[in-house]
Amino acid sequence: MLAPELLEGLRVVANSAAIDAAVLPDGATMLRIAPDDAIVTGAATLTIDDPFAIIEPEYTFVHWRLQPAEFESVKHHIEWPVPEMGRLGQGLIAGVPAKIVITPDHVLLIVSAGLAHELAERLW
Amino acid sequence: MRIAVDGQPIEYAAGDSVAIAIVRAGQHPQHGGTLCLAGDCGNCCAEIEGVAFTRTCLTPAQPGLRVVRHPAVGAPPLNLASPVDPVAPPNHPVTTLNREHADLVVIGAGASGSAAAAEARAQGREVEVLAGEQGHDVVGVYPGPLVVVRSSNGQMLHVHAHDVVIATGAAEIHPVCDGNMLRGIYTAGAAEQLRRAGVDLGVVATIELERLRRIAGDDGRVNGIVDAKGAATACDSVVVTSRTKAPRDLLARMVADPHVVTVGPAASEFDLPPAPATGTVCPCSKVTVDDLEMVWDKGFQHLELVKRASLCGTGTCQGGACMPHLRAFVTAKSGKPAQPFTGRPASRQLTISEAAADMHLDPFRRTALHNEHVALGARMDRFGGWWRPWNYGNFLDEYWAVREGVSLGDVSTLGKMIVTGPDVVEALERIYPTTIHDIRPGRSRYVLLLNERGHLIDDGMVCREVTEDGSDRFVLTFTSGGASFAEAWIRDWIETWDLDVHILDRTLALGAINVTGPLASELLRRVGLADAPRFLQHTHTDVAGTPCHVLRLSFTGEASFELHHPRTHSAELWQTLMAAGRDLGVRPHGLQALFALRLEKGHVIVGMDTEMDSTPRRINMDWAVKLDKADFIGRRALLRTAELEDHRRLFGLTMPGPAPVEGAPIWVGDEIVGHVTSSFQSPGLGQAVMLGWQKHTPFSDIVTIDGREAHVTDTPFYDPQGARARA
Repeated sequence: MLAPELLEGLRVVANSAAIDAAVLPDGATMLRIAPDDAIVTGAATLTIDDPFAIIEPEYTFVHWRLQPAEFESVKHHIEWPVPEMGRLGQGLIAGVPAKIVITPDHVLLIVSAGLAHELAERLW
Repeated sequence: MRIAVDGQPIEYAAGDSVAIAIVRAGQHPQHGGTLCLAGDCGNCCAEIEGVAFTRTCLTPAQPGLRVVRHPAVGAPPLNLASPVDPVAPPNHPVTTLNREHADLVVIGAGASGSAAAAEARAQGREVEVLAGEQGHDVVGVYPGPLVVVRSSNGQMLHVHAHDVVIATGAAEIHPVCDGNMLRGIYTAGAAEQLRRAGVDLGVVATIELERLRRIAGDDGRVNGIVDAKGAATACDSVVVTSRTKAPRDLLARMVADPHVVTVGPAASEFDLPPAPATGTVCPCSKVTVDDLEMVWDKGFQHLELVKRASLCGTGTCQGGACMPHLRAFVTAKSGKPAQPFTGRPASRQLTISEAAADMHLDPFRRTALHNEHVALGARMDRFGGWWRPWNYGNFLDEYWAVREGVSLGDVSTLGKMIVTGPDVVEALERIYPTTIHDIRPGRSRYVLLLNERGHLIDDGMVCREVTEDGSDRFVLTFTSGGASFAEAWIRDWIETWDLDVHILDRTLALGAINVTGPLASELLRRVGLADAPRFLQHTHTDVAGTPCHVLRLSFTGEASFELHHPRTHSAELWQTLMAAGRDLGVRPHGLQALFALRLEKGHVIVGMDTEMDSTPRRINMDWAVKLDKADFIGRRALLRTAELEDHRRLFGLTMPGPAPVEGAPIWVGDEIVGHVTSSFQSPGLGQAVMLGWQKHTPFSDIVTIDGREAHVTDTPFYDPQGARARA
């Protein structure tokens, strides 16, 4: 398995209503990891209607793009229901906190960079 | 067709289980005891193909199957192909774990299970039936609910269900009387199975459980019975019938979950058998009625206590055979109906491989500098959920580099949190026992984190800054091992108080390098930090081209600058600092040196020097608490306990010679009054320095440690005025 790539983007912590109302730049994607917390990929800046919003460059996570067939071998390490297409799923995968997003042509497997070695060793 | 039992071939007929094949040969799968052939008891368990405690009644006979009886006394031997080497790669079979999600799971395919499944399907539910007949051996039901299954294909299955119906039926009741561990005793159901299989049991005496007084035998085998009226009957085999059956409810007793229900005979009440007077109650643990009487007389007069004291019900079948009789015994003794004991997974014996299927140890994080440490020859070890360098070969060299030159430490593991919001000052004032509102932007303050009892749970720094639009923003730091808990703790309180505060944990996003030593400023000047912050100041600036949050503080006792930066830049920043400081003798230091350096300064490590009930007073850190400020977590407890005499105190201690081991007892006279929490033979100070508890008053200035005299000494041991840290 190749080394994972950095999940580049912005980390946004703000009132949930402000995050709900955020207008993303073209090509940007939001991963809502909590009501008041989101990762926005594909955007260098973001305007949020919350004067106390925390918006920081995100360096925490790395990711693998898995083909559906590759994801099959990962699946039986997941105890929680696999999310629907396009939705974010979060929980332990092989005992490591991780996230997945299923798209029509691949599965995004996301893990904090500090635990990427653990997840890779356990999965592959 | 033959199987091998204890190395001897035994013929079997098509369709035989191993147990039936053994009985057909005139033998017993163990050394005696009633056979139910329904999987309820442990009386037919044997080692099959190297796996002990396998139920022979549920194992189909196959050509060449190797069966070994368990010893009559003691446990079966542990078969290990080779000595266990925890470091070597595993050479055992790995059991695959499959996971499923289901709407409704019905456990059992008997009459009640089939009815429950049909009813649910009629209501439009999607039903999955798990039954032994289909190769599913359900071994546990957990809250969730989660059903754990051992499949006949050798794999484990976890089924996460919305609802679970337990329909496991009822079990025949075994006899308990003199002679009940002889060979040749069968329940009615077992006898019927054997009859259908064409097994000749010889002369059979059939008797109701309630009418049976004792079973007679010779050479370990039945040769007659005596009924309640004293009438004796000669026989080759005894078939014991009972008017009632006991609910097969072990799985139901494992879980209290509104989404798990038990139906049919498994949920039914039944008449307990007469209290046993003689014989073996628990065949698995070989517990007799006399044993139960003994523990009862010793005061264990509750079913759960009788179980624990006698081990009745703790064996292979988990009460499958003995529970009715144990309940009858306790009911008769106490005069009150005794309910069954709690069931706990697993209901069946599992191999270690099956139990460990897809189980994982807690993961340990690596910092972005992990490869740098390894390349420098670091001995890596696990601390506080992270892999960290313990030393790089010679920790004393690292110690001297900090004291006399400059050194780098990887402190990426420290908790780092940004907090903002209109209520942020209010929130932090309530959380921390020191004042927050008077911290000026660009300054930082050391803080303790206390719980409601005023006990120390973590410590760190509070750094204040102002955003571009003029609002307050704080950066909080925490210990490496305590960061996760501290974050949850703070979030919980802020939510409880309903304060408007935003929190972002940056621990995993940012790396941090501590540049420390008298030449630290010079090294940083060389990489572009001309205007380094003064002690307890902090600033955002570029260092060697990397955007850094620079915190000036000191844990080592020397001038120290923590460079918090994007973890993606860690390796480059580290390499640049190492290269720029080569002629200054820069070298990295690991935790071993860091622990020694901070000990010379008397700095405590939370969880190492502190205990669960350590208050600031007990660790001489009253100065970090402002009891005259408005309420904060732990204030009321500290106000109350401040009035009380305290019998615990952490002291600095010194003694000549080598340092005693950490944990060494501290003596006053012939009494142990505490123990050493941290210990180091300081080359710089020329003596052993320690932190240690005294838990008896009056506190003594002179104690004995390791057979030598030690003196209570004020801390810091090193640079008490803090001039070097501020330099």
